Amino acid sequence: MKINRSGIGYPVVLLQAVVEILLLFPLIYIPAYYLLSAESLWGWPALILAGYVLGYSGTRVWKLSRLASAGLWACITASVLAIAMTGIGPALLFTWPMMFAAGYRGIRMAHNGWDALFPGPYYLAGLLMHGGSSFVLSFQESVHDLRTMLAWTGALALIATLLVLNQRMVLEQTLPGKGAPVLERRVLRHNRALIVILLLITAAVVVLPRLQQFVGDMIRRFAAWIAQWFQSTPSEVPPPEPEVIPPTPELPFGDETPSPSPWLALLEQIVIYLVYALLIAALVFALYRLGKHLPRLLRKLSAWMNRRFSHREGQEMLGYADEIEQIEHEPAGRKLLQGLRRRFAVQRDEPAADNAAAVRQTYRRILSRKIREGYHWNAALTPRETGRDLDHWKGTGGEAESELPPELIELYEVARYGGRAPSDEEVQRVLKASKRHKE
Amino acid sequence: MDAYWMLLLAALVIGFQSFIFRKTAFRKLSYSRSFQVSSCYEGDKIELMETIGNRKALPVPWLRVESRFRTGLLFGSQLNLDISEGQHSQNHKSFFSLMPWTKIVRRHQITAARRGVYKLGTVTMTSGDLLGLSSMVRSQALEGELTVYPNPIDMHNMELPVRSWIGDLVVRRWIMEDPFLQSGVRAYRSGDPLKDIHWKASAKAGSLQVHQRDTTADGRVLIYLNVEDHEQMWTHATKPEPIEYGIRLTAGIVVHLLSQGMEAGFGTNGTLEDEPETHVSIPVTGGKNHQEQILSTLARLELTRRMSFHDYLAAELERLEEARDILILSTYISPRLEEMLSRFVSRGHTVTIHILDQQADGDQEESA
Repeated sequence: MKINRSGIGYPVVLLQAVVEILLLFPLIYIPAYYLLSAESLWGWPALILAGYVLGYSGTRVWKLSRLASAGLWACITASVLAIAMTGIGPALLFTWPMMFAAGYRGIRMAHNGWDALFPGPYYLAGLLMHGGSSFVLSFQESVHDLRTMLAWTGALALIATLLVLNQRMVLEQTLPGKGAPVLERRVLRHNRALIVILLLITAAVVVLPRLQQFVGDMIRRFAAWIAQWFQSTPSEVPPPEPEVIPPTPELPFGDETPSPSPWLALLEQIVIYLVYALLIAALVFALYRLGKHLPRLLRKLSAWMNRRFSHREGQEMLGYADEIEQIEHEPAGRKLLQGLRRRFAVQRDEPAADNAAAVRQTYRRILSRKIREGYHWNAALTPRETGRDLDHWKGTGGEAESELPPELIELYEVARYGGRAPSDEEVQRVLKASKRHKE
Repeated sequence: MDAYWMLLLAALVIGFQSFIFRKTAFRKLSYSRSFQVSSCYEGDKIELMETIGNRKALPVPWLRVESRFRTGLLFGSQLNLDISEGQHSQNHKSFFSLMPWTKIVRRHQITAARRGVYKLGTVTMTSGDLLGLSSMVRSQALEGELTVYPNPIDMHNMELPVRSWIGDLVVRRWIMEDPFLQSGVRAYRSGDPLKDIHWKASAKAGSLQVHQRDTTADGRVLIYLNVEDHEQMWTHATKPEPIEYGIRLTAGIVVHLLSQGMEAGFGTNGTLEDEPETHVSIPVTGGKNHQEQILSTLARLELTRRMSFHDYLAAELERLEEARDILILSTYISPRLEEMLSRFVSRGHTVTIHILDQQADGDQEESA
């Protein structure tokens, strides 16, 4: 107990108390679940909170800076609240220490900062406590409501842990040295937003099986409803109606309900799959639209928050001025589509305008094919040198096996560098020779 | 779903985000830094600009940029920075958080408090994930420097005759005599040329009289600055204040003369930053570029002597080909130095000595 922080205020004390109750909820609630009655169980967390407030109030009034005085006040508040809760009985052995601890922690909140009261391992211990107790209780079916309660408090404890640890980590990373760490609000806002996104992703992963189950149930109900239109007798009637079946022997379908015909069963399966496919497609489309617009919405939200919370005087205090701008870029979806198009595109040449263009097109097509096969084309080489280099690369030799037919090379040089246009016969001869390379 | 399963999934997601941020922290992240200007004077306020860009779809939750500067640059009040000042250098830190496809240009207001050359050097960038489970460090070398010139002393308030080194104004006797400007007669002294004898005045006076010529500036001054704060100085000056004053005085004289269209040169027995073996001797000439050259040399001058001032002057005496008006700025004058300076005079140079004192007003002047 070093610094008197009795002026920190009740809201901060309440917040700190709520966080601690969340973190230690299994320790506080599970024994109470078994020891206390159902009526008093609901008020138990509130009473713990009251213990914190009473402890803090005592140190505000009497400045309980010594261990003895703080302990005495905690004893008094614990006795009053615990006895009021449970009376004198065996349960007092549990409630009194809890109330004493709450009162004492309330007193300490006036003297110690949040970092000292809640070090990093404290949060991890709380989460481990939630996980461990939940795992143990999962083998008992009778405490389903307790498990649900632990799941919710565990989620809240996780949210508090991530937000606090993130802020603490960011402040530490500023390397403040001897002074108090001061961080620009924008950095904290960004990090909190990212933590929220992380929590949403976690929630999506957690909720996904339930979501799948829910969607599956909906699909099955919808399929059954559709199948009813194709069947005289419904194969499935959810929910079953308490209907009185008249004992009439002249039932048109006999004594037994006939099984649906195979084609109806097949149709039912087809409809089920179609519905699945439509729902999945709709979900994917919705996610695509969300992913397409979410960055823009986040940027707008960030810009609005920056305008709202970034004051000029704040920047002057910081000693610098930031100019934030968005970098123009191609949307990821369009880039992906273009990449796919390039990957799978089939090159189709435009029809050649003349013989020279046809020869050059043929040469280029063969060379492009070789490059795709792995040949490293050197632009500094002449066509003849390129032909020899290709043969060397492929390990071929002789005119019959040349990758680039010599007549093509010769005619290409004429078409590209020469002063005359190739004749039709020359072009046809070259095209025939090059056809061999198409195969 | 039970709490343990939820917490386990959360741990997996947290681990995955740590992995992702560790892999992509510095990918497509660009950083640059530059000064607003390449040179300025002491006391000027300038900007240091940091430009950082995140060209990817993933954010950078936090990024810390650390660098070292020589002391002498004063940063403004910056609450989210930690500037730890030492004797020779200070640590500067910037903290960023970048959203996807975002660029931040940060302008720091700094004051160039001390002369010198300030290089941007190497920066160290540290980044990591949202919970500090992993962090990555990367160093990047930067080009660019800022030269802070010494603040020139205003010559209009100085007692030095330098303020009259303009055109054909009459100046004090220590400047080379102007043979075209006669102001009377005086008694003959040994060494006066015979052509200067005023025969009529000599006949009247009964002794040889010579024409007395007033002096005007020829506008070409060579300044020698001695970085020794006392005669027995070893290597580094222990009392830098007078020498720093001498540096500012040199800057003031040079700026004044060159702004009037005159010429100036500079030399010193001190060392230059990054060039400890360079013999500092800037010839007499004029122009804006020459002024920047001298000021830049003064900015880079360290108060460490390369050789004794006596030896330096001896080397300069051999090097000088034409007669010069020489101004000596030194914290002391010894018989040995006086003997050296008389050799300058015997070679036709004109020498003025200005003793550098800690108080700028208490300057002393001698002329040879």
